[in-house]
Amino acid sequence: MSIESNIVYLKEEIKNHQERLQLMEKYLKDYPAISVYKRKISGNIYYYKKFWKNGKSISKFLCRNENEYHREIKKIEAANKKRQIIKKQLQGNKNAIKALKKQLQIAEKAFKNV
Amino acid sequence: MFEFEKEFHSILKNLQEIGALRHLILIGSWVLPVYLENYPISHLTFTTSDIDFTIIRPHDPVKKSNPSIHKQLTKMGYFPHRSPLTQSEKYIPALESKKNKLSIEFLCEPGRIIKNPYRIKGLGITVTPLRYQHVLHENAITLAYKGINTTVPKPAFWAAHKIAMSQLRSGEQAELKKMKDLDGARIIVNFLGYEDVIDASQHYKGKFLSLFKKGWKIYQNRFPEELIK
Repeated sequence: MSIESNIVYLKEEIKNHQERLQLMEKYLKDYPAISVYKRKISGNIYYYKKFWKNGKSISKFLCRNENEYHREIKKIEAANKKRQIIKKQLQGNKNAIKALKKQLQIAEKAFKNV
Repeated sequence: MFEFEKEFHSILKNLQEIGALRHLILIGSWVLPVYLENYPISHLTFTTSDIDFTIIRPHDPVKKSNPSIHKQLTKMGYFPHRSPLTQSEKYIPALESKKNKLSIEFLCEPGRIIKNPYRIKGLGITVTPLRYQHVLHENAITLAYKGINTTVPKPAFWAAHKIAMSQLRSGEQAELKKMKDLDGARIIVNFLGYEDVIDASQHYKGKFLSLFKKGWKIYQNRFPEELIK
């Protein structure tokens, strides 16, 4: 592989990783981690979901039926799990960008010296 | 064995299983592994994670698969990402996907009907028009890649196309990208001999041929020793 090809490849890879990083950050912002709690009001049980948005803690009514609660909690758990994986991937992506930038620096230096 | 080989094979296999591969021609640098399996190419330069496919007559109603390419790729852990600037669509690995690294793009020849990215309902994808795809469409062959029949351009035409297209590169990295294109074509030029590639370019006249000639001049200056051999 010539130095030019290597430089183009590294730049493209950095661009792809950065685009992906932006999408991940947007996802994590748009889909915050959700927790669920219940309240007993006048003898009835109500379920609420709680999450953080723009630095504020927000509580929203989820459901009042236990069956519905089980259905919803499955969805919330799946979403939280997906979020956790993406969060982990995000760190991996940041490390990859760092490594690629270092490689690019070396390749560009070599290209200048040719 | 090269990087992402398993993923590439899995994409081809999945597209074949849903009957979509017969509508697609593999182009771009990912044709090289297919050539490598069918021709005695000794050296393989490999520098991209983008797989490109081109489609002949995308508005043709026979262009369909069941399930659609979109559904299949989504199932495999890719999702469509649309460029806000060009509106072109590219399938990139899903954010939660750990194993997928490649991205997939679908192209076509621009024409009277297709001037902007065009949605093929039957396949569930959006194709991006790009000039001179017809050179690859008109000179396609089917080669086996690990038991999968894959349609690719004939090597000489692929190389001629690569050399010509290098001259359409623009933007800040244009010069470097040109060199990368010529590097890719070099594998085929060295394998077939430059006469075959020049012959292939002569099948076309006008702008394509002049682009090729321009690119060929740069190629000659870049790899003079190899052309003397």
